[in-house]
Amino acid sequence: MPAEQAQVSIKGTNEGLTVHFPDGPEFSELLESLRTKLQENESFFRGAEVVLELEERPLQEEEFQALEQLVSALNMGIKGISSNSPVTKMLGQSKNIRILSGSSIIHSPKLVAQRAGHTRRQWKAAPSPIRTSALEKGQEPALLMKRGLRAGQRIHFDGHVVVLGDVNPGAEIVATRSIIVLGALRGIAHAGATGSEDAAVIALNLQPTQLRISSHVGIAPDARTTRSRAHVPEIARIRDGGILIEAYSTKE
Amino acid sequence: MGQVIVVTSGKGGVGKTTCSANLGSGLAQLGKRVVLVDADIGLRNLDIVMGLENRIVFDLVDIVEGKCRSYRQALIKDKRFPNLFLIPASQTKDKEAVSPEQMQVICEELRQNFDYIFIDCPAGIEHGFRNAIAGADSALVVTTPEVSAVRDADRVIGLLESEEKYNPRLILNRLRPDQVRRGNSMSISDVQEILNIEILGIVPEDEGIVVSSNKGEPIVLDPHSKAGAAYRHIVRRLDDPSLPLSLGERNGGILGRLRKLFIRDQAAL
Repeated sequence: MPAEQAQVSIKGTNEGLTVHFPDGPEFSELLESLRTKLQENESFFRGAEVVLELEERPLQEEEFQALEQLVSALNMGIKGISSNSPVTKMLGQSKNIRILSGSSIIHSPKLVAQRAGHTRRQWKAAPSPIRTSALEKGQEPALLMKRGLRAGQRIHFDGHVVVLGDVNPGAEIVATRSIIVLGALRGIAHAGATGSEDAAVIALNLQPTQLRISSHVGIAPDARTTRSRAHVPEIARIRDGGILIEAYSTKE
Repeated sequence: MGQVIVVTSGKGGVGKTTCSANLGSGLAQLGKRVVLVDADIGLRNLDIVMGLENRIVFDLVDIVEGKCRSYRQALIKDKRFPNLFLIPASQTKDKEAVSPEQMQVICEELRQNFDYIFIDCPAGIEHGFRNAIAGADSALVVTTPEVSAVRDADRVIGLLESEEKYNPRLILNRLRPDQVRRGNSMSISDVQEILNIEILGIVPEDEGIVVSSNKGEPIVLDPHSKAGAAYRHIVRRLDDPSLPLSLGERNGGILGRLRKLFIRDQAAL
């Protein structure tokens, strides 16, 4: 019996076209199978943007380059990578490719994170590093965390982050847009991480160890209060070249 | 079917071993069949705190490596209670000598024959921690009211919660009401605000603990000790989960003061 040929599978999903690379076969064989599939339907694939689905495989730099070459020959773009391998995720990050949720947004295992249901449609059109103009005005992706973060837990997200719970000392949130904590923010928050000066951090109880907005850094006063006081919701944002914290109000 | 409870903390020196020894002895005193498993391979202590060091022949690693016929051969019977046993850790091997899967197998076997199985977890969150929690049904997280201990407890609770099965409960150890009153120490509610899990019990600072550990006589058996009384309360709560957290006798005594403090503390929130 002839050995079955290693195959990638291509399917249409919410995210667009997804190319699945099973874990078993050599990557080079999978690449050949992808080449054949693309050539068979060249007109269909031309210009498409695809998501790579890689299971546990640690993708190597050279492998990625070969893949990139293959798709760019058809003017195709890679708009995201979904993987369980930290190596692959880091490679994707270093290439500025979006790492899809479920794989890497949450660095702590199995932490429950969900995109808000009503942002789903916006999310499909969410900015990828390749195409950033698809969002309608005022629509941005957001990550809804259904529980708080404990020491050692981190999230990185390209968009806004909303946390339903406390962000404890030793936890860290990095978002390219604003961060909203419906609870106490005692850890580290970095809003506008890619340079958005208009990003803000809002918390019901704003007591961060360190607060960063864009390239500005604010640290908590050294005197550690052992007893917490009752707090009003506060907002931190950039004003006059520094981080200003004031009571949060909807009247602007 | 018995329940397997891991006693863990993240930070070292907050009282995991003392806690395991006392809860085990307390439950044995109530007539339960209890086994204590020292999972701190390479740095065993539980045998000393229990006063059983001189009786060790086989240990946890011997069971795993098949050097004894079954785990029964490694069980050390306590001096005080015929229904209390210890499986000591190996002094010479390291944590990698045991795998999480092997711990699961041992816990399953012990579960058939005991009411309570306590796993005394090593400090840290590495291999030894993974071993200790592998076969457990629930976790007790021990902390002291110090910022660093609470931080590590928070980290450990996060790890336990990500597995979604341990239902971690808190034991706040070495609380000093006088220091809390002066504002020098975190209060019960300060700790609770950060960790946000159920408090199983609160143990006041007690110099008698050092003496009892050195003598190998768990303090829970001392009817006059305040820490002993606190451990007896935790034991009762372990056995009967419907029992509310009590902070001491009706009036006077250190626990009475502790209780007033807690009530005032909550009122301040």
